[in-house]
Amino acid sequence: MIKIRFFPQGTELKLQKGGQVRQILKKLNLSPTTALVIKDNHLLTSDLFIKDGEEIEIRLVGSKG
Amino acid sequence: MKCKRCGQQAQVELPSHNAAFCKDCFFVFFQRQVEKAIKKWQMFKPDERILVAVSGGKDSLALWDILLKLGYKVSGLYVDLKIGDFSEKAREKAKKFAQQRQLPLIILDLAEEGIAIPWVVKYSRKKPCSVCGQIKRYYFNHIAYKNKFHVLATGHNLDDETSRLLANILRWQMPYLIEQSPVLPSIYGFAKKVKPLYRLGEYETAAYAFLRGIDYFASSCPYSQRATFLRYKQYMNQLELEFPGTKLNFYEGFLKKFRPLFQSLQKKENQVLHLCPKCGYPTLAPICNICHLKSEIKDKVI
Repeated sequence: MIKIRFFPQGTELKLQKGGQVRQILKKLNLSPTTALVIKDNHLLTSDLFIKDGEEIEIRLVGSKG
Repeated sequence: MKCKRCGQQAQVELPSHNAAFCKDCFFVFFQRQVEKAIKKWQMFKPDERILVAVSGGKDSLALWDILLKLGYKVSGLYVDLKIGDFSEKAREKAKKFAQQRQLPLIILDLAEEGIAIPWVVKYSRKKPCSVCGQIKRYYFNHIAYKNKFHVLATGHNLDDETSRLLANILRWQMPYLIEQSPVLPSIYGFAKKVKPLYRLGEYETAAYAFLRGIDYFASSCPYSQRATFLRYKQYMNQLELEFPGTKLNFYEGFLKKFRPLFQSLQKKENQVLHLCPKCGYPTLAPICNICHLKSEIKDKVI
C-alpha cells in the first residue's frame, strides 16, 4: 500500500499497490506535467517506482486565479 | 531518468524540451529561459527599477526570486482583493517572502479604495475574473507610476499566454490579439509591462518554486471555479501531452509570424485616448472604467 497526500487540499489517498509514477498519475487522471510528485523533499520523474509502504505528495501545478 | 547536462539523477522532466534535469541544472535551464526572454524583448536594463506584481502564488514569487538572483532592482506590489480567507492567506505568503529576504513590498488594500472584489461582484453585473483583472491592471499602473518604477513585471507563464491566445483566436478578438505580447511599451508615462516567464510553463515555475524552497500560496480563488480560461488551459494541456512542445511553438509562432501583421493593423485601428478627469488614467470613455465602477457601487456598500 502507498499513501498519497495532496497539496494544497491536505487530503490523503491510499492505493493498494505501489508502481511507476507515470502509472500512479494515470490512475489519478493526471499527466506528468500537470503535477509535481514529491518524496523526501525531492521531485520524482515519471519513470521512477514507488514501493509499498512509501509516501508521496502530489502538488497540482495549475494556477486557478 | 538522467540529467541531460550532467548525467545525475534527474528531478525535473521536460518532454517539451526533450530533456530532464537535476536540481542545479534545472536552475541553469530556468535562468537561461528568463534571460532569453529579457534579452530578446529588451524588457529592461540593469539600472531600471522594476515592480513585480505578486499574488503570493508560485509564478509571481518565482519571478521575484529569479530577477533578484539575476541582480535586478526589484520591489513587490501586492493588491489585496479582500476576498476573505483567500486574500488573507495569499497576503501572508507575499509578506513572508518579502520579510525573509528583507525586500520592499507595497500593499494596496482594495477595501480602502472602495472597490473590494466581493463588493464589485455583488453590486455590479461584471464577470468576476474580467473585472478583477481590469482593477488589478489599473492599480498596477497607478502604483508603478506613483512610485516612479520604469517597469512592471508580472508572473504570466506560457500556460497563461497560450490559453489566452487560444481563447482570443477562437473568438477573433482583434484588439486583444494586437495587444498580446511579452512586452507592452510605456504609454502616458506609465511603466512598461513585461512578462519574463512567458517561455516557462506552470510545471516549470512550480518545480522552480519548490526546489528553491519558496513557500507559496496554492489555493484557487473562490470566484474562478467556473472561469473559462481554466477550460482553455485543460485543452492546451491535452494537446501538450500528445504533442510535447505545442505550447511553446504555438506562442513563439504567433509572436514571430502573426504579431508583425497585427502590429500593422494596430496603426490603422489606433483610437485616441484621453486622461480620465477624476484619476488621470488613459481612457476612451468620458471617465475611466474604474472610476465609473467605484461610483456605481459607492452608495450600495454599507
